[in-house]
Amino acid sequence: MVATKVNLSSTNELRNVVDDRLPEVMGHIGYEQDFSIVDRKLAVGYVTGIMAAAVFLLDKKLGFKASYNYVVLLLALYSVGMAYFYYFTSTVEKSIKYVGYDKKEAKDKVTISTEVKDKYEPVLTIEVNLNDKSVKQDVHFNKFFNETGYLEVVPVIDYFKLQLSTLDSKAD
Amino acid sequence: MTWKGLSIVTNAESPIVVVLTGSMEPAFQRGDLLFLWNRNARNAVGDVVVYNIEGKPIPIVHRVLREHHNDKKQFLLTKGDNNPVDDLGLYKRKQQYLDKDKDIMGTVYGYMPRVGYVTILITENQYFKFGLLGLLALSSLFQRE
Amino acid sequence: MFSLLQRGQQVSNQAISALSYIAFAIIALFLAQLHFDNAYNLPSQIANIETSTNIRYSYSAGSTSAKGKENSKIKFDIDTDLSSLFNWNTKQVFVYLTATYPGKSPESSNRVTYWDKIITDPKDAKLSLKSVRGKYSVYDREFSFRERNATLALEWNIQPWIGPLVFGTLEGGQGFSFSKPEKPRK
Repeated sequence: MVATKVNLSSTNELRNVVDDRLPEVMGHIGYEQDFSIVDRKLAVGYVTGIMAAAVFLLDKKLGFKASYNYVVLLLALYSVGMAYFYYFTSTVEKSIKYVGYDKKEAKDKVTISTEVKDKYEPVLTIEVNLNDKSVKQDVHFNKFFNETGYLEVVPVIDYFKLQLSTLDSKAD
Repeated sequence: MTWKGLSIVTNAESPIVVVLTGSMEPAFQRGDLLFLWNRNARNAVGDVVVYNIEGKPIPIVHRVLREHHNDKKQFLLTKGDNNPVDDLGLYKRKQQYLDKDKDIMGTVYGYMPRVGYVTILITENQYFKFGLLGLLALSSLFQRE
Repeated sequence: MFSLLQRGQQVSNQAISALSYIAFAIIALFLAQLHFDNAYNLPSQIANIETSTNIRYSYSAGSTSAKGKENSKIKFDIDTDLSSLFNWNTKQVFVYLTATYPGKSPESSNRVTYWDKIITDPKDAKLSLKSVRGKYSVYDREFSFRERNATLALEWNIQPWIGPLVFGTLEGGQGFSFSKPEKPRK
């Protein structure tokens, strides 16, 4: 994977890079990514996108007056689509960045959420959820990134291994 | 999509237009922005309307000089403030009036000066058009950094 | 904060919202000022109305057949003060004299403009004009005016620097009747 240099002053970019590497990190630990949430979000996105395209095509082909009723209908559906998309990203998806099942038996489900609480503080709040047991912790970005702005994969892998074993040994 | 939505709400194909000619000076200058509404059943004398004539490339923005209506139709005669005569010569042969329902694309209700001049520069001024495209190309190059 | 592009976006977003608030404020103040200045109840005096009706035969006078078309012209005096229409947001005032008269059916009506004037300077807002000749020779969709009764009124339109176009009618409308077409001079 090509390493990208991150602007160390942008907490947005820092978080994005961590999020992008999560599938690789979890792959090392022994989990396989599950794409159901991502797929659902994409489906809603594509449908609304197609409706938007349809509006413009209709207008081009039929002209303003003839296409009017169809455009009104499509715009209404588009708004519903966008509303659902917004609902989906804020409730179902929230800050979930990774969902995976263990490679061996596919019975352990891991969900990882990351968010930056204060954009001026280089601290990432990570919540790891293993089969309904969860732990939330603040991690300073300098644990994962070196001074020149590159992500070091090894500390990240170690961190999550630690979190998962803590959760495993936690009482049910 | 907001543009389409605005177009539906105002019932005008182009809810905001840029003034292209000087025929309504001193009220409107080239580059001014006009906001249109097209849900009115009738126009009144004095309204500034936008209409299209078949075969003419750009819509015309002029003032209603005379109107004649019954419960079904309304016929309008328009004139540009800065023109010496009414628009009869602009209409099609044998067409003496504009039909409110068919020909009028919107009535001007709001005005903002000069803001639309950028679009005129883009379409008419070659240097500006290529300069702007060049700027966009340059900025997209630098963004990847 | 993080890059030039982000700072640029922030600035432009704030600029756009600031400009829209300013535009709202301008429009609200403009309309309020018109109300305070009593712009909507201005009086006017129209007097010495003289109309003449002639049959004309050119296409620009409305004629589409050998029969021709009745055209009406007007001469009038006008006295009014439009100073209340001029405030900091007024770019020009368009004044126009209209005549409203009925059509054949009860739901039909006609309104025609005989004369208009553009006033850009508030110093020119007081109109006291005598024997003004109408600018336009008007014709109806019918061939003849049938000496119908009409109401003359002076209407105005304020063209703002920013904001909505405002319309109004001055009080003091007068009635008149279209005259019988004059016999063409030999």
